[in-house]
Amino acid sequence: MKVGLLDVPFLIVIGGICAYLYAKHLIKRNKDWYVFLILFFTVIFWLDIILSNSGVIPKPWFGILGSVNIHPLIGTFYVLSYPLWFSWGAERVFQIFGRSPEEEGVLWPFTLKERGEPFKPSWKS
Amino acid sequence: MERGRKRALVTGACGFTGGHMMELLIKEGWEVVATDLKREEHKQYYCEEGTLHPAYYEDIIEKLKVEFIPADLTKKETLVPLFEGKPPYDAIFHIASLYDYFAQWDVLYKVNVIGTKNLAELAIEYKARRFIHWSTEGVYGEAKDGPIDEDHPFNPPNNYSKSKAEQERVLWTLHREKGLPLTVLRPAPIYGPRHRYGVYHILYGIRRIGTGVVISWYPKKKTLMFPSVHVTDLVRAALFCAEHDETIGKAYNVLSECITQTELLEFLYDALGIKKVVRIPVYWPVYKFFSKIAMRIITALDRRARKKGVRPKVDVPMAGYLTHQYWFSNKRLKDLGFKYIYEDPRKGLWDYITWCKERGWL
Repeated sequence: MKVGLLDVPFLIVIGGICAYLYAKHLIKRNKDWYVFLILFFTVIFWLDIILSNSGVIPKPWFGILGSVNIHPLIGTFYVLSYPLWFSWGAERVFQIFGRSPEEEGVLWPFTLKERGEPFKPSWKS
Repeated sequence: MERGRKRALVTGACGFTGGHMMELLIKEGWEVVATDLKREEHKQYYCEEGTLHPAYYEDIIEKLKVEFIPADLTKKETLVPLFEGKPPYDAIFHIASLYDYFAQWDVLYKVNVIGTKNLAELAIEYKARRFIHWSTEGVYGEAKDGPIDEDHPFNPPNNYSKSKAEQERVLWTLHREKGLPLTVLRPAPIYGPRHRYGVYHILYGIRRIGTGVVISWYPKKKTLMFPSVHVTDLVRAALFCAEHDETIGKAYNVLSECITQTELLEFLYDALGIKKVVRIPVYWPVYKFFSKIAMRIITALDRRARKKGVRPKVDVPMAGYLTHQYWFSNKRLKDLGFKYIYEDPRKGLWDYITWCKERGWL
């Protein structure tokens, strides 16, 4: 089974970028944006693998630095783990920059300016 | 003035604790004279940059309809109108202090030591019946073996605590030599409605960071403690002492039962709705090493902030809670018959967090 060598690093980076955009902008529009993003990018990478293994494209698009042939069972687990890698990258960015416009992540104590938006009064406790 | 109604002077009336003290006194039927700096003078002493700084609540005076005489502790002549031509006070609740870890030593000394001496001398001259003074647990410094009681020697770890230790020395001298009817309260970090400097930093920081870290120290005996007191309990303790003459000449730690920092953080993340919590078991020397690095970063940030004329988000002495064991005993006050409402700080913190959430503070 053919898989792209850089699929996982790409997914981690894309997950991080999506997490930042989600926390600072998209969450305000719709909280479900995060799920859409995971699904969207995972499906693209899965499609890439399916198309390259079925011979529609010669090798995976994202395998810029090459692709490798591995045992189908290992390959299946590897490909199924894509959403987890996306989430892993996203989680690191959430921790560094925060999960919402009010949060600033672990950078908060190390900066002098308040960058987060004010908290909204909550009547839930 | 109604006959038989007790009279109190509350200093630092526009501060967080002062407001609560006045509310309690009025509820209990006392006549209150309030004093504090004028608004514009308060700004001279405090850096009010950003969200996290000691607040000034002028509206509380109007709300409670108490007599307000503005005064500056450092200028003795401004304090005289608080006493002159008035009947002696049944109690002076001396809360006013420059409680600001960002302040420089000379200002701290001027306000906290000289200012308090000025007030205490007038209290003696005008025959105040009781002088209830607010000190801090910080005067003791770090606990080595178990909780610290009131007889523990002083070893203040920062300028603010040093100024409070010096302030106490001056007052005890006046008590011994001139008969100042002194009772000293040494509260742990205070929290409660309207509070936004100190414990609030922890809650605010957690909300801003958004991810929780719970540390378990090994060996277990190295687990750091968290002392605190709800402002309601603190002002009740002050009134309790004012009403018990046997407290003259004594000092009292005022705090809820200490819980471990691990317990505190577990509770806070839950109460603040922090979903992602990382748990790290760590060997004490390793923790201490990384804490020292964190302290250096915080110190560097403090220097940068001072250069820019702004306030850092975490004052250096506050970060001392990362490495120092602050663990105190409240036995003496309890033995006297005082009962805490918030014996478990988690109960008080829950109420306070709710109050903050309702107002968009957290």
